[in-house]
Amino acid sequence: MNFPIYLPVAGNAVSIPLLLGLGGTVGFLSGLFGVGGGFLLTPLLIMIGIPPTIAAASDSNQIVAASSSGTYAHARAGSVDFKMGLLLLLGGIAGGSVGVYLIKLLRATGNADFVITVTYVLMLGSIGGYMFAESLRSIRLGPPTHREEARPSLYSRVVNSLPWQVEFPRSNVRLSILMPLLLGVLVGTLAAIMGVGGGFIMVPVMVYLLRMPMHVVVGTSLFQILFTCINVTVLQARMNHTVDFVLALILLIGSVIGAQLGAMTSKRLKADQLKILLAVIVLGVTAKMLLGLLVTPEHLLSYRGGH
Amino acid sequence: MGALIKGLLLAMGVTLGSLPQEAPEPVASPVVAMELLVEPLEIQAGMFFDGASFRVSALVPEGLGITVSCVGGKEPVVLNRKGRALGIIWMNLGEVEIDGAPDLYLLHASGDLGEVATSASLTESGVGYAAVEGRATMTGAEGEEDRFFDEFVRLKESDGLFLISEEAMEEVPGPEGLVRVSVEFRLPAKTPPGDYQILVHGFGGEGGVLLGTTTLRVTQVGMAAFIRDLAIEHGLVYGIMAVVVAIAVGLFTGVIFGLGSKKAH
Repeated sequence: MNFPIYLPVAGNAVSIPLLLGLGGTVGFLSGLFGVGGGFLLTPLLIMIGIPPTIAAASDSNQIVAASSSGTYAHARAGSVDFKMGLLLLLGGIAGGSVGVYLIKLLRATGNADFVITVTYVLMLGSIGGYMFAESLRSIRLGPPTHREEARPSLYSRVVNSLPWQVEFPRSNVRLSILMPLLLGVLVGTLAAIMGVGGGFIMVPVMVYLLRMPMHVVVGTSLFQILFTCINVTVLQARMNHTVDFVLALILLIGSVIGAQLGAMTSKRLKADQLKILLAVIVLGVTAKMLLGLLVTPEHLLSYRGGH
Repeated sequence: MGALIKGLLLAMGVTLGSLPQEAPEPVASPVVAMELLVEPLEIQAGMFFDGASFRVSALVPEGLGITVSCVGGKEPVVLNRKGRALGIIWMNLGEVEIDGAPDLYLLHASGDLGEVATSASLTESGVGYAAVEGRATMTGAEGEEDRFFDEFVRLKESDGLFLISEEAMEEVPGPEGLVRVSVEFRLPAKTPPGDYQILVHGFGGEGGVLLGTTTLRVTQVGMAAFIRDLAIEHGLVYGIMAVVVAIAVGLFTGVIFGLGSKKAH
């Protein structure tokens, strides 16, 4: 192994350049799309021999660095809607508690793993598929016409009829505060069920349901992920002792640099190009998961934990 | 020395062709005094630990089949059990708990294990996977214990934590009637810290005897030990420290890149 380092909590040695490369790649995607990248990095860490529970917890720790780096870069560019982010975060915390409770109920009935797996594949597949189709359509036909905007959809009418409408100047939208709160609860619940940060669900929710501009979505999503992952890291370290700081440190050195490069690249790409790229990645992960569900696994026993 | 060992065997009523019929635990078996060297006796896992090698050499009676094993602790382990749901989807369908199986089992035999000893004498002496299975209990795989124990072994082998090597050992003639055998073990980086039993068994005819045993210790040292202790004993402080460092590195990089981008303009 080239330049190995021993991970004292994981109890294994890994190659430093490999970890820097993995961190850099996921950090780049994080800065580019506003996703934490946990849904990509955790399985990769498990593949290189990190125990699943430690991979997931240490991944949260490195996402704190990547998202603080990315949030800083986006905040300097004026593309973080702090008001919207805080409301989504509040909803997300409540939703996380709901999700944890649901998982407990499902585990008691013995159906948890099935529900998690199906939810994961359906969410990834439907979000990725919708984003891909919509972005492709948008690239081909251009933005929606004024005629289409003049006839508000049922969704728009329902949203506009909700109470407590407020302005979100950074996102250039007027919405009821119930919208980010309720959607935060929804994403938080799904994220807790699937055991991920939820960035890849939050980004499409902000784009399609909150109608936020893509460049503000990325920064605001990172801002929200930062707090979610701080909470997860401290809880995992305190309750389960599963954060490997050495692993997280090497990953985050790669990821913060990657996040900056991603944020720079993000500014150079058009919104539809960003969306379609994220859709391709999400669909790729879905395909990999589907393959994993259908092909006979190499081992019929596996260590517990992880996504 | 050879006469001493033969004398001891006879004094214990043990002949190599007719060993006790009971199935003793390896360590509880009669131990014949012999020279057993493990070099090093302690392995230290620091920040650049990438697994380690150690050599076992033993002075044994000539003509015996020899096995040398390194056996880890026997904490219960719970694993996810995969199976088909709805006939097509592979997913976790439950848990299997294995109690009494070591977390590490490395065995070197002086030849093909089937030729070194009969399966009955291997099991009696606690040597080989079948003996490990015989001493372990499994819950969660009722009716399929053998299949899932094989899966357990395959999983451990893929991590380098279980191994049976049947390559010839190095042999050097010793004093009268004795031979010095030596073999090199490779511990993977995943080896958990703890004490490991080194067991040397001799087999002749249909029986086996424990010729010697000693303990190898694997310990975490230096910064690795400090970080692990902090993580386990002061989880909250460790978690806050991990978050503070992550934010500091993130913001520092942000500032550095921010300065770079300002200069670029």
